[in-house]
Amino acid sequence: MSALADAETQRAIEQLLYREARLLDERRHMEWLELWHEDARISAPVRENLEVAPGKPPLTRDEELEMLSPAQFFEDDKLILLGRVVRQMTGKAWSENPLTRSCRVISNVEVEAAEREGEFNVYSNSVHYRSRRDGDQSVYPAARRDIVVSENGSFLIRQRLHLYLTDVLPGSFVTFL
Amino acid sequence: MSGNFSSLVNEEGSRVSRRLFADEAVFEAELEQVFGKSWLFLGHESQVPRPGDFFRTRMGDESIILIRGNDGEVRAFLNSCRHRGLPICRQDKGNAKAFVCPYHAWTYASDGSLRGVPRQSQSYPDGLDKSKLGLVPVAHMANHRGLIFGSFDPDIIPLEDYLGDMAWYLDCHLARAPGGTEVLGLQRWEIDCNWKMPAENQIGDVCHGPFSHVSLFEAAGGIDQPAVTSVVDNGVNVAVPNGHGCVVAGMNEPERELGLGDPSASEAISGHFDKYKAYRVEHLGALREHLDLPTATVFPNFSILGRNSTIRVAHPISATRTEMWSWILVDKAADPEAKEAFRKQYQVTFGPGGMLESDDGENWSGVMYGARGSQSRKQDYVYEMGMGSDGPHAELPGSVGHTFSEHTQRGYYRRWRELMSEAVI
Repeated sequence: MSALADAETQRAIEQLLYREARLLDERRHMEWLELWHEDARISAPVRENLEVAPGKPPLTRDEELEMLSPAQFFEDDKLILLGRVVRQMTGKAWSENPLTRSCRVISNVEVEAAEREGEFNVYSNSVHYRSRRDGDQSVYPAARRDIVVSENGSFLIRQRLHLYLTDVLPGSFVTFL
Repeated sequence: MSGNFSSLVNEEGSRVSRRLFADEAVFEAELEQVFGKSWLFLGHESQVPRPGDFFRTRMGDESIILIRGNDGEVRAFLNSCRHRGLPICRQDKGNAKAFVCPYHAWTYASDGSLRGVPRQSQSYPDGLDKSKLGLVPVAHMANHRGLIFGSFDPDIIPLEDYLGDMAWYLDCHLARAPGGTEVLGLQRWEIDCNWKMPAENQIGDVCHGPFSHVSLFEAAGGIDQPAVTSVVDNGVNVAVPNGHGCVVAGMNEPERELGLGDPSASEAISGHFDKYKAYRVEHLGALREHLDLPTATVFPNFSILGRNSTIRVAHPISATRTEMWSWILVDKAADPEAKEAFRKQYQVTFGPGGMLESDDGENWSGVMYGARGSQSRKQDYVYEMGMGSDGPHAELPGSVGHTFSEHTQRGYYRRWRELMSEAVI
């Protein structure tokens, strides 16, 4: 296990994650995009139902991830993130118009210094609530592992592994994680 | 209300009762009359390459085990113990010599036979005829170029007759490179809609594209780019007997990819098509060499989106709820860069995070909302676009018409009507 980051870094990165969630919830998409590194990568692998043979201990989650197929629910780079934002800007993305109301709750934030200077492994949990009309509400809980880097005095998210809890996603309308 | 379900669709298939999209009585009858009497897609042979390989799948409302036996044959069974009915296969995929029920440890071999019951001589002193208590098999199985279908109907016609000319079109995609296709994984998601909506949309509803999907087209290079016009303006819709249909378009259009994402990925895809051009000419002929299937549906609920590298099934959960299963399908011979490019292109456009799928899901739910009201459900939906405009074609089999025509959907609902005419309300 790597060393925990100092309290100041921990606080700054927590604030980054909260701000990132809030900017999406407030539909400030262009500002949200600025929190992502130029080489940003998001992946959200499809979760599968696995079994261990009788007599074997449960797989760790890392072992589980190695067994998954290459299929992802999301696999975005910065260009695709930009595409998602630009699509919103047309006012013709019908699955987000009428407007979606969302609330992302971020917690369990752990920050560890990575091997490379100025780079941090960040663990967090996220619960994304989404509502659009007539009491409709979907909930998307996920565990996340980010790599956050310090560049020119600010922190940017360079990588996100987004592990949905469910194997069957509710709805086909998620524009952003 | 009494009568026949076939009264819910007119003879031409051009008027369809809204009750087809939200009525549980219609849904219950469909499980027997449609899902019980059709060929249903179970999985791809690349998911079960070796003896003992299994995949947990669905047919209609049933959980099914698809498994390759030690003799190499692929079989399918209801995923249900004969003793108390528990699912005996609870993981998505794997390799197993036997399936053990978690409740009382009844044990089944990969050929479905019941092999073991604990303490049998003590528990059943008068004997237990295990030979009659194997897993319930799916009546018929067939494989079309790697696509494995099954049917519950012991009297179903052979798959090749069922597909008919549809096979000619499917092969444009399935046989365009040596070794055929393979799947890279499966996405699943639920939508509040009737299961027929994905099927009827993907059978040839091109006319929603320029409006429904305009946000992505504008974000990715404009509504007039070849990726759009090659289908909308230059494609055709083809209705095939038994309720199948497809959209056919030219494959070698320049810039057939939406202008979104990494340009090197588009190059990997074009390079793949160039590499196997001679193979396509030899195996598919000069015409089919350059045809592909933007969308197609095999009745009742299997679809392929050729340009977006997916095969999918709309599984019926209830009249108003559907579980989509969407496999990423690539040519087996493609090099790793091309496979990755196909996979990523699929993921950004289709599946629950895909920017085209999200528009579609919104529409499919809306169709169901419009069918729920006590007054509105007395009305029909209108499928009259392009009435009489389709017909025989010099080179293409089936009934061919332009893309702003609903003849493929009319064919789909005529088939539905035929099957449902045996059910009584």
